[in-house]
Amino acid sequence: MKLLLAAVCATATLCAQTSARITGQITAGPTPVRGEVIAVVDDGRVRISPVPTDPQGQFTIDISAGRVLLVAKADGYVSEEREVAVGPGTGSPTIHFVLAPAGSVSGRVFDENGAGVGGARVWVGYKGETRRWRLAEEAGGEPADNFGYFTVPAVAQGRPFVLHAESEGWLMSSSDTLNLRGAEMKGVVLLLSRHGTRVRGRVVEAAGSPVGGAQVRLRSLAAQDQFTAEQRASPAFVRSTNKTAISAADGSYVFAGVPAGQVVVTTNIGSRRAAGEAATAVGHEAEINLTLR
Amino acid sequence: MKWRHRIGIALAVAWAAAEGQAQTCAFSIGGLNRQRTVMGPVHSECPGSIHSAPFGNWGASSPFGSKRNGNQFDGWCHNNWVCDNYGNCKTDCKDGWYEWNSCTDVPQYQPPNCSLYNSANCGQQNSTRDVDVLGTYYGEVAATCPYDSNGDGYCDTGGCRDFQGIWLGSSYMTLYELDPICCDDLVQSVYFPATWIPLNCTPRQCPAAGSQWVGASFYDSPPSPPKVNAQFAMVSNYGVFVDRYNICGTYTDPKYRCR
Repeated sequence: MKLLLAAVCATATLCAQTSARITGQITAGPTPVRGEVIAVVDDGRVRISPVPTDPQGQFTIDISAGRVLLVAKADGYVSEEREVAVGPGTGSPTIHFVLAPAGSVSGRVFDENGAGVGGARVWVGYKGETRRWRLAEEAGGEPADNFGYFTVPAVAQGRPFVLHAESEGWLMSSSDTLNLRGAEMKGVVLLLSRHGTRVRGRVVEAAGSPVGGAQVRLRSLAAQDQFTAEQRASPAFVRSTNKTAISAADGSYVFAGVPAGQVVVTTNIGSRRAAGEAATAVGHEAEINLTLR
Repeated sequence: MKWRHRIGIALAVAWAAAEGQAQTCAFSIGGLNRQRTVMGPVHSECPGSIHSAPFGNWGASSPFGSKRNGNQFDGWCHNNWVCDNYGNCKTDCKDGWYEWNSCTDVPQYQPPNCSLYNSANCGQQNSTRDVDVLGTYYGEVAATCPYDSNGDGYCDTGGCRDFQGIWLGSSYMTLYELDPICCDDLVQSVYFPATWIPLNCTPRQCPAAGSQWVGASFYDSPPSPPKVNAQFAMVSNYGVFVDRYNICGTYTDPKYRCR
């Protein structure tokens, strides 16, 4: 069955210069789980190879020397990842993945006035865990509905986690530590209350005429106290510190929900570019005008 | 103060590296399908069980995620007036999904029948929807710090520009007719050849890009006859350089002080 795919992968993708074999098993507690292992190798190209397990959850991956990120997944469970370095002398590593059963977590995101925040995104982070490769169904990030209701379909049962909520115009906020015991947790309430600051300006030609329709990119170097380590590990942090806007017909643009610290704003139209930077502080709007040259 | 600052930076760098949080390029990578067709014998939503024969909503397990009620493999029946081969007529597929005739091998629902099959002489089903998303990855891969190689003040090397593309060795969709109570019915697994997304990244970001569409290469569970067909592609929704603790900003070489 699916083992045929493993053979294809092993010969054609990861393994042009095979130097190591990684074996292992996926279980849920002591019970073998049939699933697959996604092998991610970075050698200037991001190479992704799904390798299915056998019915006993066992897998074999042949790779060339270097580092490989292994992500074990199976329907009904939350994935786990492990980075493995292989090379001469490292032998044949054996990896045991123990997956936690998945359950869903749902609730609603409110603002400080008690109104639901439509389109807010809610992300899951596990205490003490840093992940590099996650499925969206596990990470969260789907926009909430128009009333702020959200669902994360696959959260690990029995592992402490926090939820990070973010939306345009607010800084990320996080829940207390939660623990899913069972297949479902409903009624989680998240509050967005930190507005951050705003950065605005205009995009103009060297002669001063406004430039509408320019893509303006903001990169925020957030001050240390703006986000916790857990928040910085979340994809929500990436979204909160990298924003894009399109300039209006009069060349104006605005970013809201910007953390205190420093920002760099850039734009380009073809080979003409402009950039500016400014310090940001909550309660003080920053202005950065961009002149294309 | 200066040595304290340096120790602080060193600790931050060491901690970030140990946590796998040194500089990365963060990607959002999705698996897609389109041109979905069902043409073979399917026995999933048939009479004699709790099911509401013959239409059902399908989901797909893939490298991009688990099967779910979520427009992963949309069919065509959606509030349609349907008559089976025994003359029973009703408006069917009323639960919001785009469903497939999932019981094509019993006389009541067999072809040719233009309200049970919507194409190819009323003997084949074609989806009426366009591109479906199987699932998405959020992935981060280690990247070097962006720097300015020609002295114009703008970063032109390193960062996300370290990556020329995203390659997926192979992919598959294992299709299920989904049942809310118990249990999802396996239809068939469809396998696809390797796909490749060429990236055109700047050091700070990668614009959205996609692979070519590829057709099925073989089947499994069962290996024949083919019951379904579709095309598969992979898309990179975005790539963005991430330096969570501004470690690149602490480099003293002026070439790293680029925008």
